[in-house]
Amino acid sequence: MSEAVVAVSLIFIWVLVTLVVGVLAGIKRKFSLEGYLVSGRALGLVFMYVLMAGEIYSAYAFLGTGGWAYSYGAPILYIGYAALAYSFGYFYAKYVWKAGKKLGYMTQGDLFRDRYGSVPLAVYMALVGIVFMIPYIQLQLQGLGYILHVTSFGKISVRLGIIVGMTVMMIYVATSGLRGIAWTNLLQAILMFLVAWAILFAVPFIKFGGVSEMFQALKQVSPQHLTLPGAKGTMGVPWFLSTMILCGLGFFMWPHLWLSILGAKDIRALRRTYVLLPIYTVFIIPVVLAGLTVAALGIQLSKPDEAVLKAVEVSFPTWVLGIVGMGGFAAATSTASGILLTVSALLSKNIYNYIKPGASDRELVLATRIAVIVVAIVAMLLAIFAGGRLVALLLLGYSGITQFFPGAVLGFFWDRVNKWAVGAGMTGGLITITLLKLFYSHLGLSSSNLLGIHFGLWGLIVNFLIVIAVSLASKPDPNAAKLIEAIRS
Amino acid sequence: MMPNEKGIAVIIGLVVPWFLHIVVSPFLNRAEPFILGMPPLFFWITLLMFVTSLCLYIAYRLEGGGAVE
Repeated sequence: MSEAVVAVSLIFIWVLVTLVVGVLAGIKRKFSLEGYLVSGRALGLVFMYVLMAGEIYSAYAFLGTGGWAYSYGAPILYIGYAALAYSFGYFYAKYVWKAGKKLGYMTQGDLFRDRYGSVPLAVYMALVGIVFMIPYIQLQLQGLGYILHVTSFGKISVRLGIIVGMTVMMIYVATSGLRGIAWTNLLQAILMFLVAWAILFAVPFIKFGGVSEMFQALKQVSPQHLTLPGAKGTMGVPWFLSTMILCGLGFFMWPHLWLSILGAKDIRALRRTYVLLPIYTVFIIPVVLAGLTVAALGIQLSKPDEAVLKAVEVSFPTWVLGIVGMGGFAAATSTASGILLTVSALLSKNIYNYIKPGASDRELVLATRIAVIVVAIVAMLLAIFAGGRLVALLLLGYSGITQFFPGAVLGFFWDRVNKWAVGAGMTGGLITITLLKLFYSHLGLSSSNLLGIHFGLWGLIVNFLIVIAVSLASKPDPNAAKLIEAIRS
Repeated sequence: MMPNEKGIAVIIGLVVPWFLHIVVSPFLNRAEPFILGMPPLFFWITLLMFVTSLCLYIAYRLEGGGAVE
């Protein structure tokens, strides 16, 4: 049996196992909307842990992180933001959970609707969330298609990889909702962990005899890789710190994280999950080391995102790529399936349900399932017909999503924040990031990161200033009392 | 739960990790000396993943293991 056949068989088996487990998780259940979207608020530590872990490490973790380490070196360490995000989440998520439990929220849109008493604001929030999340699914699909293509030695085309990946996700998300995602993520997390530690961590040892030796070699080949501003000289200390702040604060604004928070069975499970998550993030370090090894070897890549695959190719028998392919599939689907469900939930619960207020619970479950299928097809078409490089898209998404911060955080504690403040702040933030990211040259700037600070953080600063100014200038929100009361008791 | 214990939990679980990442990191942006085989910033960010879990664990204990609300 040739090595390519082994690799393709491994990938095929994994795809099949994922599909079966995902479908079995929910096929026999009759779901209420709460059961479908937030697994009946009954998830314990293990499922919470794998849901969260699967969401932070996507296909991007394999391709983008390795590619950045290879191209830039030290700036990739901004991924340390994950620990900051969990530190923030430990103290923040319990309020989201309490509000969800007491007031019945299932999505972020529900909070905006209830706290600010405004359907238009909730729809606005839902639309912004969808606009930034669909490219994110697309990104995962492209990564997935690409990984399957390379690790199957070209036997699976990128397009076929995208179609297979999306179809599998669509089937198990439509069938089993959050339960299906939790069960498949359990498998994915174990596999990704193995790929990182058993395969990628070994790369610097195989090529150089150790991590220290690899860094010594890298110092000879490209000393700029070892420190900020990195090999290209573009990502200095201000960029590094502002990116960590942006991502550390913005992480919990991603609407798909809310589904897992709301799925927790109690605050204790939630807190224990966050205590343990920073340790899981160490798993990203072998990916970084693998990317750096390729740089230290002086290998020139036309596509930097190939770095991790290259690292495996030069260190192991070629069939091992098949295992990396399984890992890549796992990474992409564990992230994209959660986002797929969330986009569909926002569409059904926060848009459809306002158009048709009397919709029954059963009807909303059906609407969500139909949305899953439609969104999956749209993302698939985008992934096939619209390209784009991985990390830039992710960073634009992060900046956009982070603009929910004042509305979703300040609103819990400050009764003066109202719909006008949140709506105006979000708009100001979004305009700021769009201008800086897409039109910086028209503004006479040399980079979108004004003064070296990440453009998304500028957006958040503008957003906060507007929210505070408008809140102080207008009347307190009469709706605020209910939520603030709910999280205190 | 005593109010000051909650305050200490916030300092240890939230302020300390953010301080170590955002304020301390720039001072470690240098090529040498290698620590456990890694340049200082690589070592530091890796170490902080463990340290942050430890900080959150201390906060969790201070808050009565999450059982008391």
